[in-house]
Amino acid sequence: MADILKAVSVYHSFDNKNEKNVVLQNIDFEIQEGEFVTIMGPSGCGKSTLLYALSGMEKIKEGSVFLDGEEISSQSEEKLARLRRDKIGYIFQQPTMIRSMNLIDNIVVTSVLKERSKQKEIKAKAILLMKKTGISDLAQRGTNEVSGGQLQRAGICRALMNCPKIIFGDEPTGALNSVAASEILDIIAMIHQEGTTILLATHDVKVAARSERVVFMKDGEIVKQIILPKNQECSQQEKIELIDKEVKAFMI
Amino acid sequence: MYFKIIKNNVIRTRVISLILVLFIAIGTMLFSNAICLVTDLTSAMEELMDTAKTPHFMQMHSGSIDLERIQSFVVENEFISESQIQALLNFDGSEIIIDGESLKETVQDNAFVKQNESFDFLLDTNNNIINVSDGEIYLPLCYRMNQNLQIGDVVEIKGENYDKKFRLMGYLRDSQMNSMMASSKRLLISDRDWKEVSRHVEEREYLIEFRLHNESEIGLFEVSYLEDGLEANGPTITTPLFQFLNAISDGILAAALIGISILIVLNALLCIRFTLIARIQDEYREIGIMKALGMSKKEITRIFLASYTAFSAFGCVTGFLLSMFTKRFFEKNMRMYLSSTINNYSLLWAVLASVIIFLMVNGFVMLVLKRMKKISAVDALQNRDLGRKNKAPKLLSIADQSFMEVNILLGLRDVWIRKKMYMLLFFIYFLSIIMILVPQALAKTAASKEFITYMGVGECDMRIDLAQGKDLKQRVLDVNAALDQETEVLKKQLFVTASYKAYYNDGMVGNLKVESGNHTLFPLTYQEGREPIAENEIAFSELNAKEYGKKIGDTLVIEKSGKKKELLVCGIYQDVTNGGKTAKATFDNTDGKIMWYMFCVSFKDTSSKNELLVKFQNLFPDEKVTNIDHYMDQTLGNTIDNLKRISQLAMVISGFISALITVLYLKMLFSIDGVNNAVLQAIGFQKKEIERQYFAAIFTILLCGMISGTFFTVFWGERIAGIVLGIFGLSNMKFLINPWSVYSVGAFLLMIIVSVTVVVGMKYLNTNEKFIEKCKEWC
Repeated sequence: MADILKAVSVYHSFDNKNEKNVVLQNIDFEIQEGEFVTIMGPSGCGKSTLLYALSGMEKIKEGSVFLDGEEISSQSEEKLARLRRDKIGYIFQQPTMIRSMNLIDNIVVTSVLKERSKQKEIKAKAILLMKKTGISDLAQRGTNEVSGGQLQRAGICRALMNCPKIIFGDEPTGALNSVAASEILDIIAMIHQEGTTILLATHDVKVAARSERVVFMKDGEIVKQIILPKNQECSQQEKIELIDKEVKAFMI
Repeated sequence: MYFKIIKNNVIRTRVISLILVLFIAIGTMLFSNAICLVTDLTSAMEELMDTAKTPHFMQMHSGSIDLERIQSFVVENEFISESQIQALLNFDGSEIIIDGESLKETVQDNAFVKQNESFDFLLDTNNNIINVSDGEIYLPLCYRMNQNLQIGDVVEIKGENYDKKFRLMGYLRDSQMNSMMASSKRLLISDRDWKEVSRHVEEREYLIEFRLHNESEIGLFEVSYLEDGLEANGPTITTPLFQFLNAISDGILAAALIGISILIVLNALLCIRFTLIARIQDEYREIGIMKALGMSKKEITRIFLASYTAFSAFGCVTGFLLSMFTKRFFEKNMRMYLSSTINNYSLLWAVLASVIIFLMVNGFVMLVLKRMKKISAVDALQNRDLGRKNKAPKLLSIADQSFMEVNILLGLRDVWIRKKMYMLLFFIYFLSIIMILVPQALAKTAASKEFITYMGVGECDMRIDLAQGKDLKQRVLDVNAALDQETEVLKKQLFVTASYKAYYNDGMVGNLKVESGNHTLFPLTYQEGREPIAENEIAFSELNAKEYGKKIGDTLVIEKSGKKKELLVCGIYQDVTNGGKTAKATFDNTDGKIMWYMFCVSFKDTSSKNELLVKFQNLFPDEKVTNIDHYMDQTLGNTIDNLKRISQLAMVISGFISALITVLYLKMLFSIDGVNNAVLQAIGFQKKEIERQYFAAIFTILLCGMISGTFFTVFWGERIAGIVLGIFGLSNMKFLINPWSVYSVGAFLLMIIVSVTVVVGMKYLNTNEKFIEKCKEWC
């Protein structure tokens, strides 16, 4: 399978007057189309920054990022915005919704911006996605009239609306209780099964255990990658134990 | 600690802090100047009228005079403390040559007088009573403004058989006739010169003047004067009108200054509101943390208040100091016409004005800071909104409608959802368009030819006034015959003014001057009702209607040919001629005590008007032949120029304020919407698309403000203008303009200013801050 995402020698730092804070270095890594990858690591290791850099939200200082064969790190803000609209879906840790819109408007807004003439089809698709994620009866609700879990489902619907090539998720279950988190993970797994590429950043081994490959980060660098056995080869619990062992190994 | 807070705040918001201080300083400066002007004007006017000993009651009279009868009235009347009769030697403007140029274009009556002995003195520019030597002359101050004259220049009387030269020694302050609105001007010469000149003047005009023991008894005295049937062939003027004429121009300036300063301070307050709300939004979390840490609301308020107290203190002190320098500029006119003595208390008033602004600003900041009460520690820490509602109507639903571009739709939704917040911006545009349109409409109206119909004069090309004198009736016939012979005359009408005894509602008798003729030929604009048509109808000037307590439909009783005649009040009009106290009727009044005749004439071809005017001036050199355009220019010219200047200034101020508030608003919006915009960018909106949303929102508000402001101006603008013009007795006026030319140009200008401001403002304000930082903040 072809690479949908490729990072080559990515380097990034946050500089201020007196010091240089290196957050990403020596990042060489790729994801194939249809793959489900998670990035794990302790807080402050650079997971989120890597996600922002790979999705074109943060401009890197050095290196290259290729998305669907296109080099994106040197592109203009305008082009990157189009890229995010057309090829990327993003799920944030906090359900980041536009507070002045109801759920369905939040879900359809970028699609309508892209193809206004296909309004009816867009709305039908949004309703279908909301049904799939179990929030179809909340379409007209305001963002302050639903729970965090329901908002996160709406966020997933929004991320899926434009049939993205890849979905990025930054701790998508980080702000949810265990039941809601498990439901969200089920939805993400379902999306993956339908063929969408997924890259999640997480520090939760349960989330990582749902993926096919786990990338471990420490101090801004990728320190290890493991490919998890397929579901029929080992149980979920075994996967969790495997990842946990690796985490403990390089955390020490 | 407070110094550190202020310093940090200034560094962080350099431009806005500067604008705020500037607004407060300019507002304070203008307000201090206005207050000083009012106090100085009051004392200067008092000083002038005290030094000149202005009469309390003055009756102008032309024609024969019975000195003995007046003398016996003076002896018997208990109200009078002093009396005198001043004879005026009137010369036609064409016979007076100043520095080689005649005054033929002037519509003022120029009269040579000698200095009075006991009161009504003519003063020099230091308020000293002028002692003029033979061969010397003092001119009214208005000629210093109009002519480029030097002391020592020659002023000449050049009649057909008489020529006399004077040397200009200076300018005089005339406590009665300083104002350009007074139609007569006095030129002071020595007693001996006056005697010599008087031998060449047949007709005299008199000022019959009285000073009373008690000024408050003017009303009673006026009645007793009229009841005795003494000389009254001319306007009657009393102290209040003298005060009004002396105060009018500076009074308007003071009122305008107060108005503008209030507007500027109001803008400063709006700026403060915007910046404070933006700051509260910015520091929403910090406020929550401070509350959670146990700081009281009072303590948090003090932190926010510190900067604004410093700004307002600095602005007020700067404004006060500036006012000390600019005071002279604003008081220039007053110092020239009234007095140059400085009021000892004006400095105190200026300080008081500055303190008022300081307290106002601080009070307002406290009021805005009250909204912090609503922020609970938990809300702020959890980033919950300040109770924003997010329901938009179905018509504006993104998922349901497809007729509008998404960014425009989002802009409109934003306006709908945050109506309350946008209301202030709407109010600014609404006010701005009114500020642009009303003065413009006013200036264009005042400059239009029809405007004269508001002044008590019909719209005509030429006016011929025939005052009392020898063979008056024959002179009228001669003029009438000449007009009949002139083929260029389109229409003419003779108006005869006679005085009648008229009864007040309480049975007291007054002296009413009634102008008779066909008033439909050269109609006035009536405030209420219409012109008199039937023989038993009368129309009142507004001042007379007030004095006689009459409304439309009321009846008035006058004495006509020894019998009482009942007249029905059919119309009320505004008038600035003859002291504003006139009446119009159609009945034959040749049986009354005729005071003057007046012809109104309009020509077929107005392009030959000037030649025709010269022709009639030459035909009737003893009569007053007036070109109505010149009359307008000279009585209203200054006012029209001032109105034009005010309208231009108002346009600049409105444009500036609209632009500034728009920028501040944008800044506030970007601050409040930081997270929302970051989310939009994260999901694929381009920066320019977000900017389009703001443009749509602000443009919608601008359109709403402009449309409602224009409608307001159309329906209420005349009333607003009436408040200003009410000072002149023109409280009820209609704009005489082409609405398209005025309203569309003003609206278009504001639209351009705001649009450019939004586009440029967004370029600099919606910046450099990485949206991802906001996303991180949120997450």
